[in-house]
Amino acid sequence: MNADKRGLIISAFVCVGLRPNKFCAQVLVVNKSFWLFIAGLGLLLAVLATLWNESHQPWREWIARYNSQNDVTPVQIEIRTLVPTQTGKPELCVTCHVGIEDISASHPAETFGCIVCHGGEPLALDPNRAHATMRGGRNPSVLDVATQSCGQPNCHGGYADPEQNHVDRVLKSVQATYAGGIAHVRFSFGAQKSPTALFGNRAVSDATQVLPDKALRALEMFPTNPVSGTVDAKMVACLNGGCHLWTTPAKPQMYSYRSAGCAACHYVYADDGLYRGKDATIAKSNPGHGVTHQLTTAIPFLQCNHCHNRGNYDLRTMQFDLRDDLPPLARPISEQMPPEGRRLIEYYQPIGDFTKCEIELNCVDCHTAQEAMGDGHIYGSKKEAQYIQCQTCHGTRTSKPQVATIKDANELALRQARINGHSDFLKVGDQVMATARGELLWSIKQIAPNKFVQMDKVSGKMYNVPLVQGSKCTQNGQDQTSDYCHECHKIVR
Amino acid sequence: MSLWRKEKSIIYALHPEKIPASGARLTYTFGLGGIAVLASLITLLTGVALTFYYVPTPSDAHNSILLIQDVVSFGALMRGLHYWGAQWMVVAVTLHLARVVFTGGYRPPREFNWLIGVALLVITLVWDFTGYVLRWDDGAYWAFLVGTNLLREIPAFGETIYRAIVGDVQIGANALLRFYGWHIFGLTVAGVFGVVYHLWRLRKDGGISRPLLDENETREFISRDELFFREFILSALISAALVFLTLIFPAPIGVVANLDAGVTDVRAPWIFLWVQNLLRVIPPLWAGIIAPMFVLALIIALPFLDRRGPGRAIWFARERWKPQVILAVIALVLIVLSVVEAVR
Amino acid sequence: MKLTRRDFLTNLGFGSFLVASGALAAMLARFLTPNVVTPAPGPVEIGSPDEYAVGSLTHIENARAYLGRDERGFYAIIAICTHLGCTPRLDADEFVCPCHGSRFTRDGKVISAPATRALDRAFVGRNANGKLFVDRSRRVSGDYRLLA
Repeated sequence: MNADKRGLIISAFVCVGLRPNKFCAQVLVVNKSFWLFIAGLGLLLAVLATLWNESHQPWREWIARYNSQNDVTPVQIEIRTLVPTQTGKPELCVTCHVGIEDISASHPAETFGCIVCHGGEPLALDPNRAHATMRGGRNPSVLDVATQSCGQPNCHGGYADPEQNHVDRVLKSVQATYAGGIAHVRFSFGAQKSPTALFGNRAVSDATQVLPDKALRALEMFPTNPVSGTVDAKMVACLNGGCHLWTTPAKPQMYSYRSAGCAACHYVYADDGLYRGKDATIAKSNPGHGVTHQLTTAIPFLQCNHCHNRGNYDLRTMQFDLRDDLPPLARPISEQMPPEGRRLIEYYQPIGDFTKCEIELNCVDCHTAQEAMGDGHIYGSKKEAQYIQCQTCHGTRTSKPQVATIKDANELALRQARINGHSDFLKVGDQVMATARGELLWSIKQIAPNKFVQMDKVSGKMYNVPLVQGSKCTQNGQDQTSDYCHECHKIVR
Repeated sequence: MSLWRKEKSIIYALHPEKIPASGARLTYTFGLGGIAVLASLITLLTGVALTFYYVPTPSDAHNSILLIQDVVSFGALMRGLHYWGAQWMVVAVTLHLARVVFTGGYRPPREFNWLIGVALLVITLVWDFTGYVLRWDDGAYWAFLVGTNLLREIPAFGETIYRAIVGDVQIGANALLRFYGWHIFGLTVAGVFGVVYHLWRLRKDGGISRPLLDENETREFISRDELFFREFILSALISAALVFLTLIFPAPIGVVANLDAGVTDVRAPWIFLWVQNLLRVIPPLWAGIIAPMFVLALIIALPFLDRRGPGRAIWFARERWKPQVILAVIALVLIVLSVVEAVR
Repeated sequence: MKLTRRDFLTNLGFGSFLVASGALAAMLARFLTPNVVTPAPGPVEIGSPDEYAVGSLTHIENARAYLGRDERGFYAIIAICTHLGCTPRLDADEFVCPCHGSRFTRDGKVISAPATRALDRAFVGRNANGKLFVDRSRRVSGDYRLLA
């Protein structure tokens, strides 16, 4: 055997990791036909592997999985391009997320696309690459990035009228700062001398020249690394555990599945946290997803209940004690969503008293945008931020509720009705109820002198709103805050 | 088949009639020069394909690479072959250089071809670096920033050189366009010319280096057909291996460059890790300009440090210890510096 | 004819090489065929109906179309020559294509070659807010009118 052949054999054996010996050398008969065969085979295998790889791209698998769902019309396995009219730039997200729900009627995908809110790479189809630069991960409305997504200029931020800068307002609201909870616990444990709030989840300040009654000038950021053993150290765990809009629950379980930021309220979760939409990339059996990929202003009471009404804080142990009387979860979504009759027993705290409207209407029917998302000022507790009372709608023995006239088509109340999907309920010239701070309650309108109807924002059901004036109520007008009303009007369980 | 005449084909013309068997021994050259040429051809062809999708602007560069990688059919294959072809090219060129030193292949009359070879190494490295920059992802952007800022450290002419290369006072659209131009055109012209010159000069210098004959020894030759056959087999196997490499390890692409965000881990391309390491400890002018220039000067000087004595075409001939030791020391220092930087 | 093992391996190897080369060429061709292309132009809003008088023919910016109005209603002529796609100009009462001289009537019918087919018509519709729009991605017949 000459040196050339030896060289070829050595290279062959180096490749297969064997040491050359006589036997192997004989097996690998060195001739041209053998090497031609090996080379041709190598190339052929490389080509076949490439073709296999190309036909097993992740996006193909996701579309196949979408098609395998039994309630969808199968689509072709191809790359889908969405060119939102707002940006005019192609986005390929819907290739894998085929069938995903439009986020809302006000934000159709064909206009906005996905990137304007979510960020991410419009032209990538590999999941890691496509999602690498997403804003806020799965949820672009988390408060860390909400000013760049929901609150970006010309969306829900950047306006001269603070009423329209929802994200800025929410950042200062008690739901985000959690100022009341922090102050209350620190005061109870003697960590601060007065119950006035000093800290919030993040530092916030209000530059308004004249602050409204009860509003605070600023909150400091709650210390992230307090001295261990102090009440502050214990509270860090509580604050990270998800009792405000900055985070989601650390250990989500049934009834507490929810999102963070704007989506905490506007992105409805089922009690079991399971997704029920068409996007095959969202696991149907993995809790922690909204019912569908949709935002709403018709927020059902169940959504509020994912934070509220679920249990009580125990100041002794610094733990949140979950209620043990909530109903079992294994039931269809239709029963989870409108459990009208069983609402009081199944969901509301047994220690509370509730009136008829509180168990028939939804929370958002009374708690207005300014109450829930704040009025742009900083308050030290929930009590100071909430101002809607029974008398806001029902009046007192001596006074009627305030009303206001819808003056023009651009008025907030009309816009709210339209976004809520009930533009036919209200028109210019109608008279609606107004709160003490002048916020219009678009869902309660006067249909005849002293006759009001209210539309349930979630179900669309109509209710008459009875007035105190002219009723059998004998309560003194000064003592007609909600606490008093509950004495007579509570529903017996 | 009168259309096809073997003896009139271009492939036939590019090969010498016969070459000495001792020079064609696989364990003598390991085919490294040929592998480098093959890798550059693959890189060149796939590079042409990539230009049909790549957009050399800061806003679209990274996007267009994601498009190639994920959306274009067989785009990941093209880009992967381009990437791995380029890495193999760097490795093959470097090892080829080492082989020439350790076998004394640079000996007269081949010193001039050694210089062309070193020039090709430099072209290969710059080619690789400019290609890295075109990714316009986080890593590439910072390497670009650092690499070009090093030019400013050159005394007196630094700023002028910087502007001549970057085309602006800072890196941005102009710089990307220029590096694109160099990458796909300037360096390609220089590289192709260099390879052709290198091979032509090899033929003029008497073909591949070989040991001197002993008395009574007759020289064995292999034919042109045999040579081509071996090239063909090796090319097919290496191409197949490159395809599998691409499928298993896709060409990397990071998150889009963002000057404001800063990054947690900035890493030079692997060929310049040793420079990055030096930059941590010594002043930029010394680490980024003088040190590489010194290494380059040493490599250029190797054949001239040893001009006498036998040992031609013999691995590790003791008579030629000087260049071998110098190259081994350079290699050792660069490898250690690079490894230390890579694992830090 | 007896096939030796050597010939068999040679044929197999060379055959594989040819198949693989063919496949690589096909891959390259597929690579060159884009998977993302410019989307069809969407509807372009063109103002309210009363801005266009009966008998008028108005050039619509950004839509490559002319909006006409006759007694029956609105119609849109696409300003893309049916010969090779240049943009004909409305010159006096004729569309004249600058590239190869095709001429069309105000209705888009061919007056002189090289074009052999009348100019295409685009869909004209009315938005929810009452504004007109032209949608060039929807072709309609010459009889189509949006009733005024």
